[in-house]
Amino acid sequence: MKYFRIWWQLALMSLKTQMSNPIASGGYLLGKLFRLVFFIVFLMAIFRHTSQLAGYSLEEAALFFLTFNAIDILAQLFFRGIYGIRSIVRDGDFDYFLIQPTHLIWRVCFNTVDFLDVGTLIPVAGAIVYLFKRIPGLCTLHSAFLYSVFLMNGLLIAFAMHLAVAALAVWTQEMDNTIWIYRDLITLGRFPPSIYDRPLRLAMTYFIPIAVMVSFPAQAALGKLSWHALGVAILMSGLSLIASLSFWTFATQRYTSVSS
Amino acid sequence: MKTLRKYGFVFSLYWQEGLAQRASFVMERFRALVVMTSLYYLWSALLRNQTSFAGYSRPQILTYVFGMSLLRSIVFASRTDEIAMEINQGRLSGYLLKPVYYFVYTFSRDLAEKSTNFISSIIEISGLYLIFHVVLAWPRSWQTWVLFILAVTLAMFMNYLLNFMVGCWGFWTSESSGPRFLLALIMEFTAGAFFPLDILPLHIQHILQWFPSPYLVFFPLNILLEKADMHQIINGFTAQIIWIIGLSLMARLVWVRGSANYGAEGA
Amino acid sequence: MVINPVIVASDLVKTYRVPQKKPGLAGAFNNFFSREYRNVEAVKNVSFTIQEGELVGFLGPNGAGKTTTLKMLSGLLHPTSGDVHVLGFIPWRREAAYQKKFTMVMGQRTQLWWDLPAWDSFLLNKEIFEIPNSEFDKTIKELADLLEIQDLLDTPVKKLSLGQRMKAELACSLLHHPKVLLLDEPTIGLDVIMQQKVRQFILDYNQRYKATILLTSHNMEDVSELCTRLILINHGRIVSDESFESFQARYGKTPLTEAMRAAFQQK
Repeated sequence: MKYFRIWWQLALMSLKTQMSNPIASGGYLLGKLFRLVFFIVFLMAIFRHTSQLAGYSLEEAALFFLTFNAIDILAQLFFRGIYGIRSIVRDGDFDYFLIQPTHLIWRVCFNTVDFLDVGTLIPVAGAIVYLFKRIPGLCTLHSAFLYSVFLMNGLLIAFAMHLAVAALAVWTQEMDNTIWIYRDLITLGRFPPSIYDRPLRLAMTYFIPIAVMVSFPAQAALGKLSWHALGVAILMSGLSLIASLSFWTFATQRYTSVSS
Repeated sequence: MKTLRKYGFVFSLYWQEGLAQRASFVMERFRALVVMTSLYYLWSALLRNQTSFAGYSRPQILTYVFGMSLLRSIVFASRTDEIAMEINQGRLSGYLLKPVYYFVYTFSRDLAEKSTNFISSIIEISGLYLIFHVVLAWPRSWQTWVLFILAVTLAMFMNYLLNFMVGCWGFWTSESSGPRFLLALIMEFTAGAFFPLDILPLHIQHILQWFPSPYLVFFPLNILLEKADMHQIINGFTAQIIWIIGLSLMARLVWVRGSANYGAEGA
Repeated sequence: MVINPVIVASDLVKTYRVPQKKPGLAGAFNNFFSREYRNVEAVKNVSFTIQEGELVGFLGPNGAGKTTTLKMLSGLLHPTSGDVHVLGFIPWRREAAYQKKFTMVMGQRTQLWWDLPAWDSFLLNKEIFEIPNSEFDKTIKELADLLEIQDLLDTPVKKLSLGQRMKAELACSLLHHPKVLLLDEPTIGLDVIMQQKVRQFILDYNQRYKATILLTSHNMEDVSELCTRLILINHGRIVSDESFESFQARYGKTPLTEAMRAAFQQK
C-alpha cells in the first residue's frame, strides 16, 4: 500500500511536470507518433517493391515492428526513471534516494512516469489487435495467449536490461548513452529475426536476449516457435534478472557519490 | 590568423572533451554500428531472392546503407542542442561578453563533434566491409568524388544553419527540446538517412523536393551512386545553395531578434 | 547530565581512486587508450563521539574531508575501513528504521521538484517516510511558522528565490522529525538576512526537539552563533576537537577566521 501511494504521488507529480511544459511534451508526443507512422510508411514502401520480407508478408512484418514498439513503450512506461539515471546520479538526486526508506530499484524506476507513453501505446495496441484480426489464423485464443505470455516474459527481460544499464550509470557515472545502447540493440528486433544470419540470431537469443524479448511474441503468435522456445525464454529472463540484480548490488555498494 | 587560432583552439578543446568521456564516445559509436548492421541485414534480406530492388542493385543499396551512416556522422552529428540549453540556462552570457562570434564558436564545436564521429564512422564501415565481404558500387570517375564531397559540404552547412536556427528557439521558450526532437525525426526520415527516398511513391517524392531534407543525405548519395544525371545534379546544387542562402538569412534574423530578447536568466 | 552518544565514529578511512587525465590533444588520445589512476585518501583515521542534542561544527578548508565524512555518517558511502554508528545503526546498511531517524541537507542541492510547488514534494516525502496525516499536518504548520513559508508552498520551486528554496528544502527534510541532522553548508549562497533566519531556525529546532546536529560551513557566523563544539579537519585528519569556548579561549581576541587559519596551520 505504501508503495502504491508513493507511486501515485510520483505519477501525479510527473503528469503535473509534463503539463507545466506543454510545448515540450507536445513535441515529444508528436515525435513519437511520427516515428511510428514513418516506420509503417517505410514498411509499406518496401512492400511496394516486394511481396515478402524474409518469408513474412507485410502484415506479419508489421506485427514484428508493432510488438517491438509495444515492449519498448511498456518498458518506458514502467522503468522510465532509469532513462534519467545519469542525471539523477550527476545532479545528486541519487544521494537522496539512497538515504530515504524506499526500495532503491523501485524508486529509480518510478521516479518519472511518462504519460506520453500512454498516448503512443494506445495506437500501437489498437494496430496489434487489428493485425490479429487481419492475419489469417491469428485470431484465436491460443495465439493471443502465447503472444501475451511471451510479451510478459519480454518485459521481464527488458526490466533486467534496464537495471543493468542503471547499475552501469551508478558505477561509472560516465555512461551518457548506455540506455540508448540498449534501445538501439532492441531495434534489431524491429524486423523479423530471419533477416539476420545464424550467428547473430544466436547472439540475439542467448547472449543479449533481444530476440526473446521482442521477436518471440510475434513468432509464437504466428506459430513459428516451438515449446522448447518457451523454455529458452523463461531461462533467459531468469538468468538476465539474476545477473542484473547482482550487478546492481555491486554497483550501489561501489557508488562513490558525486562530490558537493 | 589569431581568429583562426582562437576557433581552432575551441575545436581542439571539444575534441579533447569528446575523448575524455571515452566510455560515452564508444557507446555512441556502438549505436551507429548497430543501426548500420540492422539496415545491412534488412536490405540483404530484401535482395536475397532478387537482383535489384526499386532500381538499386545489391552493391548500390549497400553503398547507400554505408553512405547513410557516414553522412549521419558528418551532416547530422551535432552539438547544436547545447545552444538552446546555453540560452535557457544563461550561459550564453559568457559568450556574449567575450570577443567571440557565437555562430562561429558553435560551428567549431560542431566540427569537433563531426570529425570525431567521422573518423569513427570510417573505422566502423571499414570493419563491416571486411567482415561481411561487401561488394560496393564504387564511383567510376574522380569527378563523382569531387561533386559528392561538395554536396556533402553544402549539406553539412545546410543542416548546421537549420539546427542553429532551431537552437535559437531557446530565446523564446525553455521548452524547445520537444519540438526540436520532432523536427530532428522528421528531418532524418525525409533526408533519406534511413532509406533511399525513391522507394516512396512518386507523389511523396515530389512533395519532399520542396523541403531541404532530401538534399542532406539522399542527394549526395545519389551523386555517389552515379544515379543522378547532370540535370538532377545541377538542380540539387541549386537547391542546396538556395537553401543555404535562405537559411543563413533566417538564422541571422532569428539570432538578432532572439539576442535582443535575451534575458540572461540563469538557474 | 545524561550521556547518550548518538554518533560514534572510530578510525574512519575513505580512499578514492581518481583517474589522471593528461592535458592537450595528445594527452586526450593517450587517456582514451590507457588511463592512469591514483589513490586519494580523503579521510584518514577520523574518530569522534557526538552526544544527543549537541550542535557541532565540522569545519575545514575545501577538500578537507568534511563532506566525505558526512556522507559516511549518512550511509551514502562505505568507509574503506573503520566503524561508524549513528543512533545504534550502521549507516551504510541503509536500514529503513535508520533512514526515518536522520536527515541530510546538502546546501547546493535540492530534493524539491523544480517545476512544481514545494507542497507536492512534501506530499511525496510524507508517503516515503509514512508520516500519518495528523502528524504531517501538525509538523507542516510548525515548520511553516518557524520558517515563514506558509505563502510559498503553492509557488513552483523554480519561481522561488534561493533563500526561499532553502527554507522549503529544510522543511521538506524535517517533515519526518529526524533525531539527527547532517547539514552540509546550509547557508551557502544565501543573503545575510536569510542566513540569520536559517541559523535561528536550526537553533530553535535543536532546542525544541533535542536534535543532534552536525553542520559544515565556511561561514564564520554559522560557527559562532550555532556551534557549541568545533571539530576541525584538514587533509582528511582531525586537527582539533573541543568546545567552542575552549577554542575561543585558546585564541583570545583573535577574529575567528584568523584563529581557524592558525589552527589549521599548526598541524
